[in-house]
Amino acid sequence: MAGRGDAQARADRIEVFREELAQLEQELGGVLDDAQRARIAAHHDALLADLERQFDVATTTSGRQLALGLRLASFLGALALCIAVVLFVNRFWGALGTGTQVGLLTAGTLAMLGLTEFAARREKTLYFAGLAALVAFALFATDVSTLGTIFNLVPSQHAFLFLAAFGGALAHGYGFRMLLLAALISGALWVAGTLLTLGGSYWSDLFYRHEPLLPAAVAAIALGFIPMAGAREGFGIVYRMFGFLVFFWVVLFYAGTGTGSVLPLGEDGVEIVYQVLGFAAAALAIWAGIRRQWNHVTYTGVTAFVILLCIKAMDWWWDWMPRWLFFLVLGGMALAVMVVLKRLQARSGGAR
Amino acid sequence: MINRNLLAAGALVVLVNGAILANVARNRAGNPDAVVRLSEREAQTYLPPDEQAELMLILRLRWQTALGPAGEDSWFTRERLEALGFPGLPAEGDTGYPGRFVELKRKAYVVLEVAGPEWERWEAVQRARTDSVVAASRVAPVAEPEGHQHGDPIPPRPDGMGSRLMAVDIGRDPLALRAQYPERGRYLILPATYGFDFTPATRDTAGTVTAPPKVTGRIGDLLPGTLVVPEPLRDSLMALGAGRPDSTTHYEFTVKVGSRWDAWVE
Repeated sequence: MAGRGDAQARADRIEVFREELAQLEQELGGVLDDAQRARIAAHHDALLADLERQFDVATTTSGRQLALGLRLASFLGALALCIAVVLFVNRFWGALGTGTQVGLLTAGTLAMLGLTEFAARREKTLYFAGLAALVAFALFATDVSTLGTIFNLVPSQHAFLFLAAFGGALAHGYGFRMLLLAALISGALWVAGTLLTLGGSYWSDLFYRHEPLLPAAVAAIALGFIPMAGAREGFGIVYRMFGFLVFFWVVLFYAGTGTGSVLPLGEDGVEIVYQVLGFAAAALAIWAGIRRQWNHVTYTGVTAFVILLCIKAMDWWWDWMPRWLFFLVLGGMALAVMVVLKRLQARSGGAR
Repeated sequence: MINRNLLAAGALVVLVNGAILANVARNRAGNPDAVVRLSEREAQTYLPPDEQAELMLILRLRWQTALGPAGEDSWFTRERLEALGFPGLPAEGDTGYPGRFVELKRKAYVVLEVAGPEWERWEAVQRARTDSVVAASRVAPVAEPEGHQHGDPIPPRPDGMGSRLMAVDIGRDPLALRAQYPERGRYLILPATYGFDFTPATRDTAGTVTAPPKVTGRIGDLLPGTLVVPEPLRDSLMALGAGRPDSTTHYEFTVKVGSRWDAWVE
């Protein structure tokens, strides 16, 4: 069993098997003799007990509902604590000396790291450890930002590199997906800011010019596709979704409005380049998603494809076509996409 | 055994804090690059709300761009932008330039003169402009709204209120700028962002261009733009009314710039 997710999936399959067996026996009468049923039930009971002991998985419907509640509470708790940290700093910071400020920020972050390890040793599900780690990340971000303010330092994109390294270390150390996402966001901002600086611009222009985010997005997609030895469970989907969402966001932005691009092509040229790139990338994403049975990748590709179709339709027809005809054509295009997807689904062995 | 990644994260916290403190120490070590006295005229303060009385007192430097050599609005012309190597400027006389949706910014170093000849020149021009407007309105009074029949139509500009900090030059090499402006008690050199403004061509009703389009340089923000006032100066300035919008108290503070061009208040 690779991890807790796999263990939970196995426990879920056992639950479904039992429900289906009960349904079958209602419809067909007994399909297993008593000895077979007892043997399977005993094996499943032992397996569930083992999974519960090893991975703390939920083995009942109410247990699964509680687990979802715990995840939600853990996330909301972390969010509330992070906000509390920032507001605390805003409220009381002026009354403290510089040395105390620096000491408190450093010690606070280190204390939350210690709490993360403490909680991780006591609880297999890592809800409390995850909460502590997220607060540690928020404290470290506040630490770096507040030191910059206290000492009037010129803002730099390198702060994002520190955050990415910190979040990445904790994420990979314990398997926290939320922290991996935080690390990916920070890392992408650092890469984009650094590329802008190398190009002569000021790094904060990245909030207006989005193209420098593309290399980080492509790198994240690549990491999500390459199987890595010792990779944490569920990290692949975080890499892929982060990469695809950032990639398509940038591409769709410039496909719709070619202004502000670094490409020396004029607005129309930029739009054409990004529209072609967007269609090609969306088609590739759909193909890869179907081939690897990654629904999230397929859905992202389809969504991007449809939005690009709408952008092109607006470009071609909005100005001269009657509105009723425009939306009729749009509906027809949606039907065409559905037919193509249906065929792809049929070829890959899905529903007909 | 303790998680190795946790140890790495902990080490990173210590290293980053250490590196920041070392940078600050290096910046403030030795003789400062500049030491200037500024007053409330040059600093906008953040007012802490009553329920947040422990907030830091933060000053934002107020400054103005000096006039051009022949009295133009600014010395920061298209030629200066080109000399700085600013890319993507619209061609000279390009009446079809659509303007930019995205603001382009670059980083450079700005020279700020404190209460010097450029400020005196700027004050004289402003006073002359105000006087001429007042004189013109007395000759041909503008229709005033009902209930406002007395007094000057345009109130005279109060003297002694504006910032005396004038941006007089910009360059990419702070050391070269310091060599050009050696008075360390008069000229601050600080990092800042800059960009350009585009004024479209003016056309008459027939569509003929009456004034060509114009590109001028624009200094954006000083970096970091805000200065935190440390204890105990913070309490002294607060006691003098710093941060209160109705305060008329005069106060002064010292701004120093270190070897790494980071500024601080003393």
